[in-house]
Amino acid sequence: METARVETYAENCVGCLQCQMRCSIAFEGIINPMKARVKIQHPVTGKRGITFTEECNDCGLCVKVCLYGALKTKPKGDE
Amino acid sequence: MDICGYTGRIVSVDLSSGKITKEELDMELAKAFIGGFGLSNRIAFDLMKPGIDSLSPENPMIISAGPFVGTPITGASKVSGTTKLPQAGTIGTGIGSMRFGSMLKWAGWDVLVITGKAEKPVYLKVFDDNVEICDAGELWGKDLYVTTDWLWKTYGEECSVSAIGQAGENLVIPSLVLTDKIGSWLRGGGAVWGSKNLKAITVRGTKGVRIADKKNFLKLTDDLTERSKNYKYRQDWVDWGLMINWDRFVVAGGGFPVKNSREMFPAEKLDELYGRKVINEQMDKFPIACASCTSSDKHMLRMKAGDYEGFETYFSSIFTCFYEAMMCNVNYGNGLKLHDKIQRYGLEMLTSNPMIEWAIELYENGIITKEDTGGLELSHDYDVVTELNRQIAYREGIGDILADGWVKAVERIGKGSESYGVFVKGNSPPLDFRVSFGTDSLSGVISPRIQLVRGGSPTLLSAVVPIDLFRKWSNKVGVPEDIWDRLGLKESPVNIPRITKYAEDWMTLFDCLGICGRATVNRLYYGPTLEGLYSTLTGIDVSIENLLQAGERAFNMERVLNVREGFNRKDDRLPERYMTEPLKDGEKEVWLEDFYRTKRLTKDEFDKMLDDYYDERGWDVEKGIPTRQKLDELDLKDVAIDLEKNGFIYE
Repeated sequence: METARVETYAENCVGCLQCQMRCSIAFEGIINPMKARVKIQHPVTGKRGITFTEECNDCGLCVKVCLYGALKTKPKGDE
Repeated sequence: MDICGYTGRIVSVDLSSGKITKEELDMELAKAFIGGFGLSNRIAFDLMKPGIDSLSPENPMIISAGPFVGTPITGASKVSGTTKLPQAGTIGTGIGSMRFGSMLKWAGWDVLVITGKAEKPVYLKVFDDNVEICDAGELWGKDLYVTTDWLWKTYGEECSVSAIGQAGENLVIPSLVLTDKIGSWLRGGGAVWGSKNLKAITVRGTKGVRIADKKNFLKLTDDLTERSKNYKYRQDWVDWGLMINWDRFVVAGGGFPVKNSREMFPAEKLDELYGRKVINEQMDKFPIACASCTSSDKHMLRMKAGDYEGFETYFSSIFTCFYEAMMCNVNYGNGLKLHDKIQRYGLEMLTSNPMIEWAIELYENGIITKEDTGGLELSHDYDVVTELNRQIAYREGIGDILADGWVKAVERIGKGSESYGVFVKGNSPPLDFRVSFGTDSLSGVISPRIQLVRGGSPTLLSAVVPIDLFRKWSNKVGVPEDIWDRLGLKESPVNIPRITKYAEDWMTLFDCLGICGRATVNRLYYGPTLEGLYSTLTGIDVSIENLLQAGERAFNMERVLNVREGFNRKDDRLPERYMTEPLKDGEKEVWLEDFYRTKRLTKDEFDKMLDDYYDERGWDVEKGIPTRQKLDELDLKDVAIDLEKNGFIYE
């Protein structure tokens, strides 16, 4: 799988959970956000935050499905 | 093979005995009714005895999340809640959202049935197989946001919380359930939960949902997401939700109805005080999405400056953000503050606001006096309206009468007060039918809970629709071409009542599958997409014809439930004010007219519309009841036999 460094913009997160759903399908085989490698604090709670578990391998799938600009790929060479 | 898409399980909670029963879902029933709305209505038919009191322990609350819920299919977050509603005794289904249905599925349940009444206040915890009735003594009397925050603090913010406020506890009829503080659910349902001593339900799921054919399912899901991403107005929807239509329908449409549906708040003033420019200047907008939605349209709004700087509250639809401010003619700061109170009480503002305006008009006309109001002079003054909301939530003073909802309140006040009230089957119309009367409005009149989205077609929020658009839409929702002539699709005008049937069956299917009915989402879907998604997700082969018939079956099931309660053609009526008075727009008078604005909708004209509608549905035109033949055609033979046995149909 192609790897990508992921940058987070939690202020743009709307809480659609697409990233978690797709991550869990890829790594757990079923739709199960609680098992996703990307963790979010739902914005409806008044808090915002996006983090990754140690198992995250930077595959970038979560970036692909985020339409709100909360997850972006770091430009190449920007390490 | 493992069950996919569905979880295959139902949990029933009897609050009276404390008994919790876990069962397998009858998959044949699931296939026939798809899930969500269809399944909850079918279960209601088996579980609900006709004639029970809506606020008695016998009234079940049947919660069901369709097969698409809990998956990345865009907009698939909808959860159905079917119960007997206290507004007028109809059986209706509220469609909720946010994370509740998805969490229920991830916890391993398609359906949650709640019956009985707890001895003391409780909340329900559904954490996978751990389904527990918990003491809510500490929460009773607390507002809806405080309750939600408490449950998040106690169990973690990843839980979804549906709760009621003081209004529901006090059996206030215009009350609701809010999910995760923002998703409105079930007008009237707050009182049903209150009658059961049920303060809240919190759900967390860690079991997940299986996919039958992952590769092809994800291909279809990705295509949908791509379509959503490429929709040219997508960002506008995310930024403005239904307010995307502000200039086209509100400003150009002449304003917004106020003063108990008597007059328009003038468009120019409305735009100047509450328009999109003002919102941008005064507030920060934070979009919030339901699970899986790729074009969110819920919002948290925060005041940027002024007396209420930093004050924030939630809107299920941003389109309602100006209602309270406009009603009292105050600035946004005060408007938001009042909206926040209403949300915290758990009042159902689409009915409680019009009821307050009604009471003010009755006061102006001397039908109620200072003696009835405990000295409160009723007017649109901000403090008076704020106090009236408090009195309704706590059933104090005149608020106790308004808290009884339309049907009982007009009885209690009497003196001709009914003719001033604008309601259908105990619910206020969310939009004024005199502004436009399309498939959505007609469907609202037929509906047990004035749900306009169910009849959504190109007529919703559009004053003029070219016939080509109707044809394109008809192809999409599966209207057979051999009946186009009858529907007026070959030559204008389109027969609005007849075409309403097809809008309803299409949208009912969405409620069964669990997809959102808002235009920005449902516009992405076509028959083959639904077929493909259902088959690849569940592993069950299905055709769009099967799916559409299931939508029709579910729609008829809801009607049958209401027929058993004595509802029929006589109840599919327009509010008197709409028939007899114009909406005053400055010097202009806006009368109730047909969709094409060719004639006034008199009682006779409306009766003709009902005739066409029932005929297209295959119902008994005289009574507005599904016929034996129609029920047989929909494989509802047992339902027909039940109706026949009880004397509702005889052929």
